[in-house]
Amino acid sequence: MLQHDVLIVGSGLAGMRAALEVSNDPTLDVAILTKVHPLRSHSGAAQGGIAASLGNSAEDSWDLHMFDTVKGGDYLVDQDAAEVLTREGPENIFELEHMGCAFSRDDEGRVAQRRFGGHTAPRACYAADRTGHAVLTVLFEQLLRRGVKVYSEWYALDLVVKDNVCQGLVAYDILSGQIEAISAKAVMFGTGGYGRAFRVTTNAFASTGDGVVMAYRAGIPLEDMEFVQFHPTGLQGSGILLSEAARGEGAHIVNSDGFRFMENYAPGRMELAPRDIVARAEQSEIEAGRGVTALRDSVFMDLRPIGEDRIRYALPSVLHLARDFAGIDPLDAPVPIQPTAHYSMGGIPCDINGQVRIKDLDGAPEVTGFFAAGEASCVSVHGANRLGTNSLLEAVVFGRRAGRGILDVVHDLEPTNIAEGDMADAVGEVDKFLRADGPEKVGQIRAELRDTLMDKCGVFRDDAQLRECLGEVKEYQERFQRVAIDDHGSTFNTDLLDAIELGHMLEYSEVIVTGALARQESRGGHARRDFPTRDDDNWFRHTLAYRPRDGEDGPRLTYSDVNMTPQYREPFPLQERTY
Amino acid sequence: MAQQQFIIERYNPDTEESYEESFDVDVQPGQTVLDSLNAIKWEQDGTLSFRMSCRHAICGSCAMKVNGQSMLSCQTQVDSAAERGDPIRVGPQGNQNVVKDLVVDVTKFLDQFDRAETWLEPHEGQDPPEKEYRQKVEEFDHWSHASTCIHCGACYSDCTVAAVDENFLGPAALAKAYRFVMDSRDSKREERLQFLSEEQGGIWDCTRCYMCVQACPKDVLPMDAIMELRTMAIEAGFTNNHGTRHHKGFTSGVRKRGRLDEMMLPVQSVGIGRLLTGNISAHKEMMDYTPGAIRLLKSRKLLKIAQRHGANAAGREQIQRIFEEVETEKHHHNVDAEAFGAEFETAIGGH
Amino acid sequence: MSKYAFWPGCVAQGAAPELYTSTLAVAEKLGMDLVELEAAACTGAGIISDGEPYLQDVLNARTMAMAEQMDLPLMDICSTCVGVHRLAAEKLREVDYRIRINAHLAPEGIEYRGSVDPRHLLWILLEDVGIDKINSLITRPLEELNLGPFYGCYIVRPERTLDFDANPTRRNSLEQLIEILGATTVTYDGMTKCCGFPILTMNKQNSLTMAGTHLEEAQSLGADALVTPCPLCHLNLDAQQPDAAKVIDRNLNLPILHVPQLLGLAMGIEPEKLGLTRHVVDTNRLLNKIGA
Repeated sequence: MLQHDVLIVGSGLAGMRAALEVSNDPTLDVAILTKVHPLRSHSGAAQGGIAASLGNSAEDSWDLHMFDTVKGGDYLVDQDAAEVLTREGPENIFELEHMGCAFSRDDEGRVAQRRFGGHTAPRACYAADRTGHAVLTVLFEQLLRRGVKVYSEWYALDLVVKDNVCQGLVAYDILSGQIEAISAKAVMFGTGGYGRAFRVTTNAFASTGDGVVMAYRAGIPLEDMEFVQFHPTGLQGSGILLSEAARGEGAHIVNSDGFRFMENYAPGRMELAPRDIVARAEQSEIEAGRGVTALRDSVFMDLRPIGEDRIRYALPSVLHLARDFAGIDPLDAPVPIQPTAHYSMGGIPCDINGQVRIKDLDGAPEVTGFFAAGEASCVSVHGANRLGTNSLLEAVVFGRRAGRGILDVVHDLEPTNIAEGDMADAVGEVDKFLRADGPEKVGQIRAELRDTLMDKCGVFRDDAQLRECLGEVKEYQERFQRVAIDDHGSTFNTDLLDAIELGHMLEYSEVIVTGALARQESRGGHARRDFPTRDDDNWFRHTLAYRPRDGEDGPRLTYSDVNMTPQYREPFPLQERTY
Repeated sequence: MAQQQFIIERYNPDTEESYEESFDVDVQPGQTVLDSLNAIKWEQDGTLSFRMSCRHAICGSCAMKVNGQSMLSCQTQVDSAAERGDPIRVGPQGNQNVVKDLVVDVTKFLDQFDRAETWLEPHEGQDPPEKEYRQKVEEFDHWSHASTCIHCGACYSDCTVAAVDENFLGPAALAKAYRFVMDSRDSKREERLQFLSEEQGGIWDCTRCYMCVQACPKDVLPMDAIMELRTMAIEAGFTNNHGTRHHKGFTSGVRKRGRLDEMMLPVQSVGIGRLLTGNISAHKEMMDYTPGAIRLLKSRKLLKIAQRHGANAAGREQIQRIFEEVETEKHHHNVDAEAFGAEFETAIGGH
Repeated sequence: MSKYAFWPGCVAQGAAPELYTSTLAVAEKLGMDLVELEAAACTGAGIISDGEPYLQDVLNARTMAMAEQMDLPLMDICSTCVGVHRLAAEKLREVDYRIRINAHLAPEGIEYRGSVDPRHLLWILLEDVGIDKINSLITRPLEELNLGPFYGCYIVRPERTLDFDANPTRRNSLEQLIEILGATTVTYDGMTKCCGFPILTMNKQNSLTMAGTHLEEAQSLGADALVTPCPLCHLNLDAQQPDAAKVIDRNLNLPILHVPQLLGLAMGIEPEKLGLTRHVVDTNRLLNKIGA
């Protein structure tokens, strides 16, 4: 058995920021475990910026940022968390800057800031349009400097929790095929989101909700899983992300009539309304027959109003992505775009110190020694819809806080132990796939699942479609029992990992759909055609979904209150959300 | 929809067998090489292994050789990779050991960043400012392209020096070192320049072959970074190396005659100073030139070299004037940084 | 008669004199009028720019200004020269930078206006002279020969400066020439890689391993000789070949031809006149094979 004081799973911004914080205590042995090398983490794909009210471009304040965040999240945001996010934002940015982050600069030599959807001030700090990459890189550099141990290309199979105390992890070394137990007094999950269950998505192949499902299987309920953000500017077909920074810099979105239709949906903000609103507007235009290209399944984003020099300087990735992936030069022509599954608002429930808590129980008891941060977590700082540039900030701010949260308690935690028997589930899962002999193929089931979720649990939802969707997901789960893989080797067996990941996708998809079916209102990223308005009387609350126990038919849903007790100001009261 | 043949270089670690396997894939317009590999893996042969993650050309996982050149498979359209009807050859990255199929052991490549200590070293005993460090836009623009490295290894895979020398730091680590040398927030500029010019496998081992610039899927221009490091290292006084002596000898020959002076260059590269002070390895290096010189003598080339051809008299006069002018101008402006600036501008803008 | 501003480069007038003489011999047969830039300076070969990139740009702006003033296209006969010239031409498209550089040319009464498109003889053969003309002058087809191309880095990289899209023949110019002359191309991995010459004095082991590896690969694939448009590659592949053989511990005996030597042979020019007797690696066996 391998052993560390602190084990961080996932090496994106949240995981690495937490590890750096923990490594401030030289007496602690901290390690990161990740299924892709840290520099491959999906945080690096974030393009447009990281929010903070530095006020470098125009007057700004954390209050204003907090208000934008709460309103952007359609008031399902826990306000204690939104307060932490926005108050601690600036110092976190400066910290990154001091580490060497390659932020673009303004004429005064300060960190440059641009406009972004749903933010009333230009507060997106950016590194051209590769901000996630710049932050990810600098965090990895500093980890290297500290010599933090990294288990690179190790796949976490199972979280071991006994009597509400986290013991550690069972993990699979992708290179050798060995399964190892790793015990730790504190485990943190920064394992990312779950967007891969949708056909059209910006998400990496790796974003398969592994951490979320491991927590769920360990008996921890998942929070607000039905809230999935669709980003309005995915490349047609592939869903590859074209940064919101394009709109921040002045790109237009038009329908087949060449009309900037946001005029009809959010006249005050036009293209810079929050993502859920723009995505729904696009989907409505497409469904009304005003889509573009032969397929009529998309609308146009026109970058030309920005001007060639500024596009080249501020949006080089957007330029390259459109050219390389769609064969379209945005300097010459508009780019067909469509809504694309982008961000997972839901996840593992935790508090503002990253401590995982069972929020629906009295006193919200903690899962001792288990922490979460970033997209895998649900703190909940984004509520029903995340504002662009708030995710990188969340990962950094709450990664650091989780690191501090761990430092606060870890010296008092008992050493843990993982017995042979605790490894049985993980060993059994791997063994089952390596021996499986059945007619079903991973790729086939996965493709059907992604179609189903996209078409029946997408931008717009309704009762009938969700019921169909749930039925189909269950059918896939059943077929998955008869799946077989081709590769039975022990070295770099990605066929095996694909199967394990599909198991995760099938499990959390059921939670998404169950939560969506139950939530009979429209709020943020969850839009029900049959319940088109927000219903604060009945649904101003977080969903918590427990894994079914023997005899139960599906996830058991409970609910918890939205936090309305920020520490340094009055809470923002519920208001109608218009832009 | 059209059929495309892929020939994949495979390696089975269990049998230690290397082989080629051909697959036919139905391709749609806009389909990438990575999409095609996935189609093979998901529909034909699940044992095929390769790395991939973001499919946005930003995570750096999927660099591999497509028709012999390293590139990101997610960024490469099938249509651009092959003439109609020709098969597409896909193989693992070069200069690294293959683990399985298209997966290589990237440890050697990634270790070079650790070796070159490519992270910011803050100024000791000096608190950072309350807010951000100020950096002029022009300063940031001069090096920011080098910070866009996604560590995909395409440059290392195609590097002609890494192919013959395990010890070479390689284009990516050197470009990243450059990025910190250029960053005013870093405190170790001098130490870095010294290390990079004196370390075996450092800046002077690059052949200037442009393979890395060609392979890089971003705008890092690694070789240009290495060249600017050379200029800065010389400027900073780290000149006791063959590279600097070679540069100085070459340049002084051109100053005198307008042309390369092949007669004097070997002596200058070894170092006249070193030879005069009886440096044993310098004399040994000189001896190494002897067989080559004898061969040139036999092939009647040495005589031609000894004639020391030059520019005509009028040309020499102008060339010498230019040398003097530039020398004077250098006292007032960092003209060499401007030269690199012009290069980045045209190189990146021209993409 | 087609007329060119001709920059022979330093090595063609030094350690590879046979390149210079064979160029002149071939040009005469092809009816090319070469006006040699006798007052021009060495391109710097990327070595001056190791420490003084600005100076190197001034020197090359001057050479290009000379061609511009004569209103003649610029012809190089060295991959390195053409690559360095083209890189300078690229940078000097930046107007502000060009103005700055031109200040050093003013005392000589010249100015670089940015119009020069430096080209190698190899490209000019395919782009200006043309296949038909070359064909019409072939008297000794090289049908017996298997030839490996060896490009030299700067004539194939970086692609952005070489205008391959507008001039697709440049991408595989050597193979085309080889086939026009009736010979067979031997393709091999090393043909577009580095010969190792630039680091010969810095790291002889690495340098000669590169040369040796490429030579051995081509030789083992049945090449009778390599042909190169770069005299610097020629130095490492020919003059250093015996040492390269020692470094890689293989027997090597592979003649290396300059582009105009190969063309000259096919056009029936005497080997002596092409300088083929002045190589380190003996060319007799090769010449016997084609009855020259």
